[in-house]
Amino acid sequence: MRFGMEPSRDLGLQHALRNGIALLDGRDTGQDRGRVLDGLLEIVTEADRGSGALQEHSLTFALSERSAFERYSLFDRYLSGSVADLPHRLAEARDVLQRVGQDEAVPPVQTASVEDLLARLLSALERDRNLTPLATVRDVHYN
Amino acid sequence: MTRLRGVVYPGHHRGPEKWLDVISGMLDTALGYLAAAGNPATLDADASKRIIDAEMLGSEAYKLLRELDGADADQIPHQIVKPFQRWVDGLGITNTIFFRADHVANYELARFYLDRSLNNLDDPAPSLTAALQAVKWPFMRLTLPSQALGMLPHFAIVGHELGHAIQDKIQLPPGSVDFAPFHAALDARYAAEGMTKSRETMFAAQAILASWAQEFVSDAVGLLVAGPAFFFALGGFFEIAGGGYGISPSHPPSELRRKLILAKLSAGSPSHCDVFEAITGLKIEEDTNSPHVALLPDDDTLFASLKVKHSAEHSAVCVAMLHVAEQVAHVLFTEAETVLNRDSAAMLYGADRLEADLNYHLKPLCELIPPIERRDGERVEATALAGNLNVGWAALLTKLDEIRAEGPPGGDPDTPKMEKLHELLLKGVELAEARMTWDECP
Repeated sequence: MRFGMEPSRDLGLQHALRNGIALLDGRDTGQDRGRVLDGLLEIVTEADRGSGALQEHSLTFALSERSAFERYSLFDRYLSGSVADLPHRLAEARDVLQRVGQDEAVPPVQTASVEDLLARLLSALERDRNLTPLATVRDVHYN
Repeated sequence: MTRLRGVVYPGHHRGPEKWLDVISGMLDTALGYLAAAGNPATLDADASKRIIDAEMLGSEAYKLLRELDGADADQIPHQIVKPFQRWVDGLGITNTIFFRADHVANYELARFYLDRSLNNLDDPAPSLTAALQAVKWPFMRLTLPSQALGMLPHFAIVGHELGHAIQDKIQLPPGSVDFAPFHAALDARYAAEGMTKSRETMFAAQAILASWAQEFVSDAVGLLVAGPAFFFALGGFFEIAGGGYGISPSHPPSELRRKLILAKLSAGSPSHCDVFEAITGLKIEEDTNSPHVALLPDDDTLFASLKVKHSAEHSAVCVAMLHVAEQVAHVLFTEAETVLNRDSAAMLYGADRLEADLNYHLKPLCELIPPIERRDGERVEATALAGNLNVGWAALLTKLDEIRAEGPPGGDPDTPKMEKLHELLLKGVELAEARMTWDECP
């Protein structure tokens, strides 16, 4: 059984998104630029690869690409209702982040599109976290 | 944390210590966020974010602390930890791992991918960075049910759980399975129920196939490293776990799993089954040690039954998956055999080893002599854990009457015999491990 953190409680994911948005916006994150880009690029690249799961009759995709499948499922779970053509947006995000990492010029419209994608996911995660009931006394164990 | 660091973990295993290091690192990082929030130079909005971040991280650290519950020496017999570590090493599993017992009828290998999140944290404390680097990820935790702690032979299921640790090495070759019967069955079910296929259907089908395939792979690994002991232990687990047909989005049906394993145990000449029957007199049947496993009904009945617990989509996919499950399992069992033969040949428990272990140890065990080592002329070889488990099952299923042990008057006469058997097997494991350690000394 695989255990990661529940996305809405995954602080590392949220930091990666927050820093990625700031970086694309030209703001200083106070964090190591290379580390931020590498972390975010890994997330987006895996999710982009995971969109292969949508191919018709691709039954064995999740079997051989479990991690990519889960990453794509994360984006799909939170954004499928609000973002059209998610696979295309992920491919675009991967491309833009790669180019930013190589200090290439990226058209502002593309940067803005990626920022929008990341911001929507961050906002959805924060909303999910805020709507999760707080732990009750019964959920807390002291031994 | 100080109290937990002072606990003795069985076999002085370093896994729990590394787990605690990760948690300490998270807490140090959270404390850093609080310190930043308390700094007058920090803007109010940033300070609020830092406080919320510290709360999230602290709360996750607390959850992770609970995952360690049951790992101390009070709950797991120390004798089994090193032999299981030999299985871990023998299968080429290099991940950081710890063992724990839980008070539920469940065996589980949890794989924690915490690094994927924690490596992206802002301003990680140096202790967190060091702790993350000291772990071979994913961090693994092997859980055993405390009920099974009463009878050592049931631990053969651990072979299955360790199979999950190497499942990614054993893949379904492209084009090796014809999925047309699945698609046909699913289309027919959707048409009959008036359902419409959606993206969720495709996701469900992929996730269910992946989960079932991983169970088949792990069954194959359990079978290859533990032989008939795995079959008996799995059947015993099906019995205590209940759960009807055993079929769910995460698991293929129990009836199919034991049928596939028995087919493999019956293959070859002499097969494991031939050897077992020749020495013990017991012919292994599908329902040996699992007489109450529910047999699968027709598809319609099964679909209706699954729908009580699962969504109509998941239920439909599960039923349709049965039309290709056996084909998938056969390919994966063969792949697992190929991979283990290539990478971990010494771990394979073949019919020849079963024959040697049963011939050498079964009778002495009935005379209360634990299975510790086997002598062959001048050569002395410590009995491996798989041998101990198989001799244990042979005694449990066929020789219990011969074990001399008495309980209080009026009690169940089998209980003291089983306790005595467990005690002897545990002693055998402990002394065999001592023998191996001695032999390995330069």
